[in-house]
Amino acid sequence: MPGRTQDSTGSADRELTPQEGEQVIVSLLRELGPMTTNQITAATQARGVHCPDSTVKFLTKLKAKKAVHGGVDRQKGTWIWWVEGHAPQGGGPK
Amino acid sequence: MTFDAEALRKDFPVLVQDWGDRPPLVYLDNACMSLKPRSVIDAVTEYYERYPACSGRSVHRLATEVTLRVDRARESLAHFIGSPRADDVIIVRNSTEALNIVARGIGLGRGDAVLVSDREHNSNLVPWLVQAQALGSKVRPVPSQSDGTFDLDRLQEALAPGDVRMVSFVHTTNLDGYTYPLREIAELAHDKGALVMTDAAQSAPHQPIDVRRLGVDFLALSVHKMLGPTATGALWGRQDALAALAPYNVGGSTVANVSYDGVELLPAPYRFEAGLQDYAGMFGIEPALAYLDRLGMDEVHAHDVELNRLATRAVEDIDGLRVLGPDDPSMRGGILTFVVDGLEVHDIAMTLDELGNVATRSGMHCTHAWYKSHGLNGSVRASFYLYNTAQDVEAFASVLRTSVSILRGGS
Repeated sequence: MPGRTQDSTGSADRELTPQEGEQVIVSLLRELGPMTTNQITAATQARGVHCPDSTVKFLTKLKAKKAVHGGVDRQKGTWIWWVEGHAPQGGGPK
Repeated sequence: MTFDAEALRKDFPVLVQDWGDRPPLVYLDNACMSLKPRSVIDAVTEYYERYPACSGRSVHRLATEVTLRVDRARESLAHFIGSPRADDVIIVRNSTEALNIVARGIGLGRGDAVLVSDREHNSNLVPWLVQAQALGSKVRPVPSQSDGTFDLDRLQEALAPGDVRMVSFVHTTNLDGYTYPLREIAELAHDKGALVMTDAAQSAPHQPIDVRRLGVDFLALSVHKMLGPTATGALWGRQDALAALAPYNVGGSTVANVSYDGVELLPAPYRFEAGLQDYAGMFGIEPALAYLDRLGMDEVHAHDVELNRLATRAVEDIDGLRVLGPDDPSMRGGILTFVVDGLEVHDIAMTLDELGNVATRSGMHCTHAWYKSHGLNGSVRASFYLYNTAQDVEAFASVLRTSVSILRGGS
C-alpha cells in the first residue's frame, strides 16, 4: 500500500505504487541515461519517493518484464540499468 | 562426499533442464528455498488430479484419502523430529507462522521479557517486538561473543532478573550457518522457569533433529527448505505447552462444540489448523521427508559442511573478501556468507546470475537488526544442499572471481 514509510536508511519517503515506480524509473533512465542501483536510489530519494520493495528488487522485476535492461558494465566495473534507446555506448552489456 | 550427489540431480527437474545458451544452473539459494524432487512434485500433482477434496470433514472417498494423507504428513513430521506424538505437530505454512502462533498464544503481559539471540531472522524477532509494542512486554537480544559464537555468561546475565517468560533462539542462523547449543540454552532457561522456543528453519533441513534431546518446548520448521512443497511448515510443541497456548486463528475444523452461547475448541493440533488448508502441499510433505530419511541427516550434514569447506577454500583468497561468522567452515553448516570490500552485494549477486547462472542471495537476509548493528549494508550468501556438487562449488568460485574482477573494472 502506498504511504509514508521508513526505508532502510530511516528516511521518511512516500512509497510509490508499482505503476508509479515504473514510470519514475523509466523516466529517470530516459532523462539521465544508464545508472547504477545506488544512483537510482539516490535519485528517487531526492524526489521524496522510493520504490515499492527495495530498489534493487523492484528493478529486477522491471528487468524481467523487459521494462528496463540491466547488465554488468565491464568498463565502469559496476552493474547498470538503462532503457531502450538510452543504452550505454556500444549498446550495453551483452 | 557421503553420498553420490551427482546421481541425485536427476531427481530434480530444474537441475536437468536445458538452459539454452545459459550455463547449467548452479543453485546456491537453498537457505531461502530448496529445490523439489520429482517424488514431491508428483505427490502435489496427484492431489489435484486425483483427490482435490478437503480433509477432516466430508465422508466420501476422495475426502477420506485426503484425511489419511494429512495424517501421514503429520506422522512423518513427528517421526522426522523425534516427537513421540503426531498430535503435537501442527501443520502450518512456514516457520514464521509457527513463531507467530506461539508469540501471540503464550499470554505475554506487561513486564514479561523474551530473550532472543542477536542474529535472529525477522520471523523470530518481529512477532515478539509487535507483542512488546502492544502489551508492554520486553525483548532482550543476548549478545554473542566477538567471534560470533554463543556466550553462555551473557545468557545467564539476561536470565538473572527473573522476568523472562520465553527464550526464543534460532537453532541454526540463516545469517552465517552457526548452530546454537540449544540443549544448554534450554536447561538454563527452564531452571529460571522460562519456556523455550527454537526456530529450526535452517537446522531441520541439514542435520538430525530430536525435540526430546534438544529439550525445547516449541520448535518451528519450514518444509519448503527441506525438499517439500512451497508454503509448508510445522510447529511442534510439548503436549502440555500446546494445551496452554491460545490459538489466534479459529473457525472451521477447530471446534468440538459450538452454540450461540459459547465454543469448546478441539485439542491440538486441530485447534490451530482453522479452515481449509494447503492439502496439495501436505501431500508432498511425506515424500520430501522420506527422501531425506533415505539419505540420512548425518550424511546430509556432512555433505553440506564438506561443500562449505571446499567453497571457503576456493574463495577466501579473493582480495577484499570477508566471510561472516566463525572461521571454521564446520561451524557454518551449509552457509557461506561474505562481503567483498568496495563492492555492492546486489551487484555481485546479479553478476553471478548474469554471467554464470549462479543463484545466490544478497541483502540483509531478513536479519536487518544484526546488519545495522554491525554497520553493514548486507552480504552475499551461498547456501549448499544435498544436490550440490564439488563442480557447483568450482563454478561458483570461478564466476565469483570473474565477477569481482569485472566489478572492480578489471576487464
